[in-house]
Amino acid sequence: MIQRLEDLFHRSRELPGDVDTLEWLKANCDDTALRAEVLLLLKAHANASLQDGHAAKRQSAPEAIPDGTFGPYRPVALLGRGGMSTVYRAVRRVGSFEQTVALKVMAPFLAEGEFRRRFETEIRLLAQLQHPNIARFLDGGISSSGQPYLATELIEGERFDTYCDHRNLSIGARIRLLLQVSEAVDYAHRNLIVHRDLKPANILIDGQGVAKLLDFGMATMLASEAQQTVTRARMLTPRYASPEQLRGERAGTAADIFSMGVILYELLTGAWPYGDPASMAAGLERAAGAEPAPPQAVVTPEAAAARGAEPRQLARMLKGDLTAIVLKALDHDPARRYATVREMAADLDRYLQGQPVSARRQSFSYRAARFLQRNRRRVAAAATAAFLIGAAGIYSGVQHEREQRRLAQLRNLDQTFLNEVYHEVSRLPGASRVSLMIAERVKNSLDALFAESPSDPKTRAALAAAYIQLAEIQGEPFHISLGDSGAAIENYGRAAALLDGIQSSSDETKGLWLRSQLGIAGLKVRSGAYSDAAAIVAGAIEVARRLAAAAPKLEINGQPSAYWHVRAYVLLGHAQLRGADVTRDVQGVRRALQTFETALAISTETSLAATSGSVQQYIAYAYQLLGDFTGEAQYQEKALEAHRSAMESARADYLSKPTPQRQRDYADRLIDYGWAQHVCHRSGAIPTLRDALEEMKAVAGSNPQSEELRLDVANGYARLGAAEVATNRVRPGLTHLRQAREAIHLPASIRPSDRELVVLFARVQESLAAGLKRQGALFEASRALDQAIAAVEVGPSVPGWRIAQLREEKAALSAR
Amino acid sequence: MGALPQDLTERLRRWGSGDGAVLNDIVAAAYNELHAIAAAYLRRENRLHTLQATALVNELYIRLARVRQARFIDRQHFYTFTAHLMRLVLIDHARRSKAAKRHGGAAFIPLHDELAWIDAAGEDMIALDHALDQLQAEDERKARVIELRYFLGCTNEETAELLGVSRPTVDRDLEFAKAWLYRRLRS
Repeated sequence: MIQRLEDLFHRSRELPGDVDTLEWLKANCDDTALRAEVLLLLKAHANASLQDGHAAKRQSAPEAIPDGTFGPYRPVALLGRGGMSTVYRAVRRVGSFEQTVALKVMAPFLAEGEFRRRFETEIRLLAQLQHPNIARFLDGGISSSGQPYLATELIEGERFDTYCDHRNLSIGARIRLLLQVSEAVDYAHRNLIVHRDLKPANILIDGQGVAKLLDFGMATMLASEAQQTVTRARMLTPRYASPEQLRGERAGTAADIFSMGVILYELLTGAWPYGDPASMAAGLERAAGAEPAPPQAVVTPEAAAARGAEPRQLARMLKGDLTAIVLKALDHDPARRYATVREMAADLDRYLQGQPVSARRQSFSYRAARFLQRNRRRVAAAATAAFLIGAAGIYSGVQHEREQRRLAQLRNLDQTFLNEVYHEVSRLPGASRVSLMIAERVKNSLDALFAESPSDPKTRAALAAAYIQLAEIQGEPFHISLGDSGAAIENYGRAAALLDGIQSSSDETKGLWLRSQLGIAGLKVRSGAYSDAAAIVAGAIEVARRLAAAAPKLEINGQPSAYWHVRAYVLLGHAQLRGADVTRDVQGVRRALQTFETALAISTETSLAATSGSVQQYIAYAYQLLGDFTGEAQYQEKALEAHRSAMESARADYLSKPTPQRQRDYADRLIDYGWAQHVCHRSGAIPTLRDALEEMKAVAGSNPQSEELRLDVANGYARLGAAEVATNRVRPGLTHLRQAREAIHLPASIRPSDRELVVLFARVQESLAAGLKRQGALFEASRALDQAIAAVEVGPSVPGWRIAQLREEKAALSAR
Repeated sequence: MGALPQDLTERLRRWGSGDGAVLNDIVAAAYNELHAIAAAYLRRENRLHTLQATALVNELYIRLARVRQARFIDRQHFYTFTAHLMRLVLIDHARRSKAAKRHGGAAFIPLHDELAWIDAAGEDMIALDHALDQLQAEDERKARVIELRYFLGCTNEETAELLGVSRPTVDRDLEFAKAWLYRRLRS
């Protein structure tokens, strides 16, 4: 019955205006009683809405001004009404003139109990507060009608947040206003007064643009020790209250810092850190310990417009320093927030000055420290294991027993330290510093064991596994590794030597061997020994194929065997592509392209979605080279498409599960994509490159030990600078190119072993020369080309055509 | 007013893991606590504009959060439970203050902006309780929607999510239920 009723109710409400409801009902319902009920409901609906409206109006109706006086003050107008008090404009006759004040009158029931004593103490403290950013306290007492009141300087001003929004104030201007507020709060804290209810409604900006803080001492007056938790919690404004206040604990200065954090967050983004402030669920989840959303993630076009910026621009501004500051202030743990408001203000000031902020430095060391803290037991266990392995080599004993013991230790090391700890570490921002420590500690222990050339296959395999892990930490190319390829090759070599002869024993051993071979091949490609690399991979591919077919479920370093099969092909293609680049061999590029297509086919067939993105990147490189060598635009267009899809899949990966490595990969693909856009004369190239560089700098900033990332950043600068120079933005272009060159550090420390670096350096020099030439600095341009030539001439694979090309450019310069 | 009693903790957990019959026990046990909260709220100021459900629940949460195991209760259960509890609490409060009110005590406190014609501290609440029971017998979900929306302060989206229905369904439920309640209480 109710379903029928509801259906008719909704349908008759949705009738077009020209349809008569009564007629329609008659036509659609032959039950007279039901029809009557529908009509009554419709009427009820209209009346209910009407009454809601009346109630809303009643609430906003002006309220009577009390007749009496409060001490010497007589209220004349209502200014506002809070949870427990009402504020009036009030006057006091002093001699021949009237003094106007803000008069806060509290509910009479407050005056009960020990309130009076607290009130008087607080008034004495408030009377001492004299600060340009605090509304001056004048007087306080309890009226003859028993109502406590406070008189303060009357501030004619606008609420902090609406003031900012009405004027579309920029981020900088908002921060400067907040700095005034923080001065006031800092001053009060130093006078041992905590505000406990900081919120935009308590901050007014007067006609001169001066921030004035209101209501100091109120929260303290209203909540006594004796009062229960719940009462105290109810007094506050949950939106700005710290977690400790929400828990009903007594709040110290750290609570004010938290509230400042919420205010800052809202000033910057226009949003509450924990979602919709009106939502009950958001409130509950926040009380349950939800983390604030990253400020750049909540930017809306409206909020950006109110701050005079584009959404992307605003998001970029918020990323990094400001995020670090806001999140430090909003830490759940009061001890991890800024220790004083002054420190927070100093960071905001540093941000305005463009200097590095302390929140960021500290958050890095904090994360590292926290990692060690959280994993103290595991780190200690691993360190002990590493020590024991070394020690075992010194104490002699029964050979067999010793090997058994060592095996156990090695396994412990492999599992505990290198697997769990390292993988844990590598997901953290700032992982590289911890990696370095791990690598150094482990290496000595492993070497001692290696020196004894153990005979037991299991020990050999375990030791090899440990060496491989170590080598990957040290030198895996295109990862957040330490970039120590020499040491890495050596350790891969040791692993391979240990595995030689025991290779056939199991699939796991084969997997290890494969890892070591591909590791070496990758580093060979990196050093420019392309034919060596191709030969090594060619030997490994067959093993990889058989392993993928025979043991599809086998996981090698957390990846299925098919992944390693794909990876072998990618490496082979990479070696072929680089080799073809040296001799400008179009057929060689086509061969590499075929190899990559094989890799893509395997990865599609085995649904390794994650790897197909990286294969796309290589396919794009191949097309790019084909385009360069043949001069045909269609190849560059194909490269652009492939780079786009590689970038998009990296972005999806990164967004689905953000890790530093995925962020790096995304930034890397974005650089490539931006460059491809530039090559194809697309308009978005420079903004893309700029975004990519920012992204890469963000990863590098939190992993300062990673050499690989330093070069990734250099590559970002180099591409951006080159694109700028080529499109007549010579000045910024040259600046960026110089930053790239600075990051590369060549030629003073020329490292012929790192071909990528050399190629990058030469490219930077060439673009610099182009920019300098445009500026008319022909001599400097020629010098830059000399350095490029000198760099390219070094190394095992010297591209003759490239040198010839650079020489031609130089000759053209000299001719001018 | 401390943490919830130990036996309540256990019952909350059983209820969370699907033992629906425990709910009545829980209500009985949590009742005094909640009642104290609600009463303090309604007493606090005789000119409260509307019942601040969010702040009320904030307090409720503080208590429930002390029961660590409460975390094991899934969201949906937690919220529907709390909403229903809130209704019982407010209605009981209204019942007790009926006498005081008749002597010209407290002022009118609208239950919610969208149910501003209902006095949260007055006799309306008793009539509302009966009407909601009736509604619940006819269409259980509509009563839940009213509880979540007006007794707990959920948004329409949250209500939809918690009940596993679409937002337009909640909108329509509310339109109908509000009219239906007005018809029962006022005409």
